Amino acid sequence: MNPNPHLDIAGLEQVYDRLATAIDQAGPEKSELFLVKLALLQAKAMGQAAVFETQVEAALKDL
Amino acid sequence: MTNHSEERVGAAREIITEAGKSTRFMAPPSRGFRLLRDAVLSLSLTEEFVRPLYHWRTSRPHEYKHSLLNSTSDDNTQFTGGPALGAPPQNVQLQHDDFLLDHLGGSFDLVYVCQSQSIPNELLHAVLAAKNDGLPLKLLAISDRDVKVQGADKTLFDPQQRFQLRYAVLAGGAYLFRPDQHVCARWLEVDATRLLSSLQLAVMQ
Repeated sequence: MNPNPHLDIAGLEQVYDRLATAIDQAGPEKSELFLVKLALLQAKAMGQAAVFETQVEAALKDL
Repeated sequence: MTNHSEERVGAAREIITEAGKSTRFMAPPSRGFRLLRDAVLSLSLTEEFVRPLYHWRTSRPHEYKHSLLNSTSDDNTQFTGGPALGAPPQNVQLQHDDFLLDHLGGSFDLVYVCQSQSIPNELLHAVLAAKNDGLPLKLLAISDRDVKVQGADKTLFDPQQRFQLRYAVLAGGAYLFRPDQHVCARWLEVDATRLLSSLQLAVMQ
């Protein structure tokens, strides 16, 4: 795996669209469950609890 | 003129697609897209990386991917990175206060990555021949050594080899930029014949 991956704008747009359609696919009842599952998978892929912590802090800002 | 029109029709199509994207941002078509929009807006206050998501039109210059000026005798498809045919250039900081884009534009620019202090004779002759035909062409040699490359109009000193990294090219490779700085040919290993036919194609349109 690329040790220093970089998500460019095209990649970010792709993620944006896929996430939006996946939330719709999960439906209003289950989208929260889906997002938590996804966050856990992402944390596992990232492999660093400390980075996950800073991302949680970043996401909690300006809600 | 034919080519100008083709390039701008492509640009217009892209603007329409981009407008669709901004509509999706202004008026999200579903719950999923609304959640994403809200998440991006919330994140954008502190996280710079999401900001281009709602500046589609201003964040990227149009790529003339299908321009008639694009070479048909280069190695474009074999590249693993760097700006492709028709794309605008990416800037590279060569040294403190010295950037690639300071040196491009106003003529065709052949940026050649040098291994030694000289440029292959055959290539030099091709560049001279094109210039003698009245073609506005500059030969810029990129070198990771602080030397004056013989035969080049200008030598760019790039001690960290940042050009090679950003443009995914090694010594012997080259990029040809149009006078408006868009890429019109690129080679992993440039040669005189393919350079001349690419220049010819670009000026015939």
